[in-house]
Amino acid sequence: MITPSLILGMSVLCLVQRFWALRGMMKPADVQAMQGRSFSLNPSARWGQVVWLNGIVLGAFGAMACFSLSWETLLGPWLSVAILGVGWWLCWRYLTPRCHARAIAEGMVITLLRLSSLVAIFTTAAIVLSLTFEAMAFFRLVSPWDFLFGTHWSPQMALRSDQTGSSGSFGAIPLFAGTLMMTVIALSLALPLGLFSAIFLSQYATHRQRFWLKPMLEILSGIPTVVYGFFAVAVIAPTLRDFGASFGLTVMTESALVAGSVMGVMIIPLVSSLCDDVLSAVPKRLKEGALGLGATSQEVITGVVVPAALPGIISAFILAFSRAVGETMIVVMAAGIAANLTANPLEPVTTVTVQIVKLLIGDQEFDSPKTLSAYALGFVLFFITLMMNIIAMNRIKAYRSRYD
Amino acid sequence: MDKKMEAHAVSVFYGQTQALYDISLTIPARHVTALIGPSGCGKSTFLRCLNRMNDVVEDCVVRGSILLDGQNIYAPSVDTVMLRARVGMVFQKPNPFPKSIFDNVAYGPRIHGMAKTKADLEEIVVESLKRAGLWQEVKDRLHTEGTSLSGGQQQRLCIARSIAISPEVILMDEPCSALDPIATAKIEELIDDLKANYTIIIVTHSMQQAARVSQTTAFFHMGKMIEVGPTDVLFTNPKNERTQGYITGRFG
Amino acid sequence: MIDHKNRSFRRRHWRDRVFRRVAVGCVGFALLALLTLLSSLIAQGWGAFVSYSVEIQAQDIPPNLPSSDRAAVVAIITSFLQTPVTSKQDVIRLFGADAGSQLVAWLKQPQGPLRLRLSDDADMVLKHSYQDSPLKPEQRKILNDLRDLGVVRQHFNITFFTSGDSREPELVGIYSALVGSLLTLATAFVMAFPIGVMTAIYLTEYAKPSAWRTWVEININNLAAVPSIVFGLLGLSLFIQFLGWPRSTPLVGGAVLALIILPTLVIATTAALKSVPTSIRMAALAMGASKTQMVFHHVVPYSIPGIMTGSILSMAHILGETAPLLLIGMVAFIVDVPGGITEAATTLPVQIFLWSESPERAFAEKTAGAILVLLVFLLIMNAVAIVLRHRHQKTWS
Repeated sequence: MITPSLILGMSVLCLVQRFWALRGMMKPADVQAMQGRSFSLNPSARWGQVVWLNGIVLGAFGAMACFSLSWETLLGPWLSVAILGVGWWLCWRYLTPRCHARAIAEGMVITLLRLSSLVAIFTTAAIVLSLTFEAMAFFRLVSPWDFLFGTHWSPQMALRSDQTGSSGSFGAIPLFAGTLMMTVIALSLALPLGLFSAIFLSQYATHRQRFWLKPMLEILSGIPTVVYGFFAVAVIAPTLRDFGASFGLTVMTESALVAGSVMGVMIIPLVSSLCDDVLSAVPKRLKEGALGLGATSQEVITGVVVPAALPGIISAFILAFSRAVGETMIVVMAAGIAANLTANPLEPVTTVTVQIVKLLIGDQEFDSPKTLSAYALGFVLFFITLMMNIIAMNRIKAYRSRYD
Repeated sequence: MDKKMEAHAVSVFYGQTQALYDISLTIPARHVTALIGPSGCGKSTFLRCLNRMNDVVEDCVVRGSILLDGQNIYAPSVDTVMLRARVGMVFQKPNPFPKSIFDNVAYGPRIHGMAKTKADLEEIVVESLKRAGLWQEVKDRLHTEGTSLSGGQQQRLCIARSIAISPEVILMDEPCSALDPIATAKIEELIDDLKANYTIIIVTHSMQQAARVSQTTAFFHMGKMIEVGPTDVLFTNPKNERTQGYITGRFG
Repeated sequence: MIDHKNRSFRRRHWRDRVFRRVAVGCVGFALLALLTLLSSLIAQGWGAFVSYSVEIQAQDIPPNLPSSDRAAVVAIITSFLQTPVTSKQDVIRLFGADAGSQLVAWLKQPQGPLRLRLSDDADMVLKHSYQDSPLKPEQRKILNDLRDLGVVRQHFNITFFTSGDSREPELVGIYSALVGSLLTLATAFVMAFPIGVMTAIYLTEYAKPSAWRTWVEININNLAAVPSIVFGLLGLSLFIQFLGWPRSTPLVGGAVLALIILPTLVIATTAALKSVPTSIRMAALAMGASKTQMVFHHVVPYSIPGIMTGSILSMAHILGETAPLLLIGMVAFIVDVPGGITEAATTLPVQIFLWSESPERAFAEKTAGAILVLLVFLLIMNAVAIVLRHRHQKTWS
């Protein structure tokens, strides 16, 4: 019932709009007659635009009214027709040649555009508010001091209150240490490899090589992290374990090394594409100046190009850092759950993101510290990455203004 | 001779820097007026004031008044859209829309609602292409991309596009600087034909061109208008020594 | 003097060559990683697309079958084997969990040969001839006998593409997860695309340089770098906890993914709009087009290829997104195809995650198979985007 009515209504709308658009147009002779007299009036105002927009608004109101009233009774359709009719009548009365229709219609469009740009602000606000709100609830149950500096993490709540350890303990230091170790492993692989790949792409590669290599690296960066996670568990972990065993080393299947190195491979294309952009942006004249003095291409790159691009490279590194800190699926699949405080990369460690996922998978109760602690962790994660992003953006901006 | 446009004490500022100083100029109707001068002298800036294209530039301020048929186009009640429908413009580099030749010419009549039926629209398009001297070359391929034409054809397409909305004044901003000599000759011929119906103001780098096409010439230098007069007088007997210097090629 | 210079030259050239080789080596490492990843996935996953069944011609089926379907299966198989079978359990466990119903269905409509699916363990033994398989020696013998009889057939595993999740690895399929992914992606696109494009149009075409515009731009750039799991937390507390939308559904998943791609979409659209040259804008304005007409008649239509490229790439990005969906409960065990965006569903990457957690070896194969399907989709999307981009770059050159 409702669908055919809406379709009918819309087609009537379109027909009337065509009619109005035609009526709104004037003969060339009329335009000529207007010329030389005034330009304040727009004789060919596309009234149709306003009619059309009003029609949509009123039609939507009509449809809403009909939703709230029953469609089964005859009242609904007639009411919507009546509302539309009133709308048309108002438009008819309102739209005289003196009305600056285009300005009104365009004002509506701009308002709509402006409203949609608010969504980005709302999203940030919603993230900050929801994280803060739930984290505050958590800190009412657990002191922030214990959370930030405690060294024992076992969030499992007892089912009954008389069980031992019923309160759980929320010292997040092992998680921070684990995250840091994972990040260091990943970055020590990704930063040099990414930077050198970018140097090759931007300084050495021929046009043809770039044409093929860039999409390859894009594919590498487009592979979902869940795939990297599976790759780590199913391929890298057994290989490393066997490799370690041949040296008499016990490499745990869920070791930090496995997850960290796979994460490093994942981050290579990010670093290389960001560095490629900044290295390519270094003006040619700087390079040619150095070449003209008889420097080898290695001396040009390490002595001129890289120093010139350094702010951009550093901000690429910072973005890589924040990416590594926030990476989830690889560590969820390939790293451990138990919160170990260790410096040995061959042992399993856990990270902030792993704990967030493990705490929130399954049922959640929004009054237990177990659930809320995930938000406290998310709060920390968000603010660390926020700081990193802001620093990186400022550096990029400074870099751009240098060569623009 | 009736005057079509008049500029009174026009000064233009881009932020802190002043680009034009107190320009006053009268533009006669159905006449070609040429603005000449070395680059950066403000002649293009002045041209863009005449249909308020400078409004697009942020922090550009225009002082003074410009009258079109006695009405100030900088009055607050003026709708720039209507103004630009009356004062058309052709740019330095041909800039056809990436649409078909037909759609390029039909765009203006469409947005201004000048054609009631499809036949009317077609008539306008054909007429404009004929006036721009492009009809013979494109009549068989009206629906190919406008960007596929040669540079000179593209520029004539842009002229056809701007005369399709039957403006009263056409501003031309160095319309031949991107063209070869043969295309330039065609455009100059076209300008000569168009002046029967339109008032044309042309900014040009080339003094020969100004001498060939225009009846009135104004010489700009460093943001000031140094001299204005009938073209033959200005070129043979300039009053100002800077004009003399420029036309004899001592600077430029 | 000359000698000294020569030696220094040689050293400098040597350094130059080493440096260059290191750079080449780094690119090579990245490509090698890609190659290893893809080849190991193909090696592990090809088996998901084929499966083994026992095919028995109608005339070979003994009459007077027992009434119980499982017993009937055993009876049919034992009638084939020369050696007597000690345990009926051994026989039935060689077959898939739905062997009984396959028989019943065939008996109702006996067309062509009877096809009985082998169990995952038997299937894996046939594919990889593992020695440490959970099959008993007796079962292996039965399987070998059947193979020697020529009734074991390999065929395309259509079940993998037509069914949903299951506890039995031989019965699982990616169809429901694919439909879930499609619904989630469609929801995300419908929510994010108009808002993203409108935001970009506002920022590039209308907003004057002001504190407000800077603020919006900072927000967007920052959101683009926020870890996706934080969006999952937001989705959980905003959409599910606060607004009370149904958990585990494509509606919530799509909304979260929409927020994730919104900044990417805005950035891509902004770049596309900015690539339309000023001369075209000037031409439109000089024709008497208003600013809005200029934007919507010219700038936006001409940047559609760029906008499409950006949209496809961001769609590809969220097609693989997993972590935020875990938090909003799209990890449910979904057998049926979700019928709408308000029904519980799972997506392909989440399904991959779930299967990868299962201990059975056959699930590892299915996981890799599902990954291959996912990668094919991503590859297609990326290829389309790259082609579109190349075509677009030509327009303005």
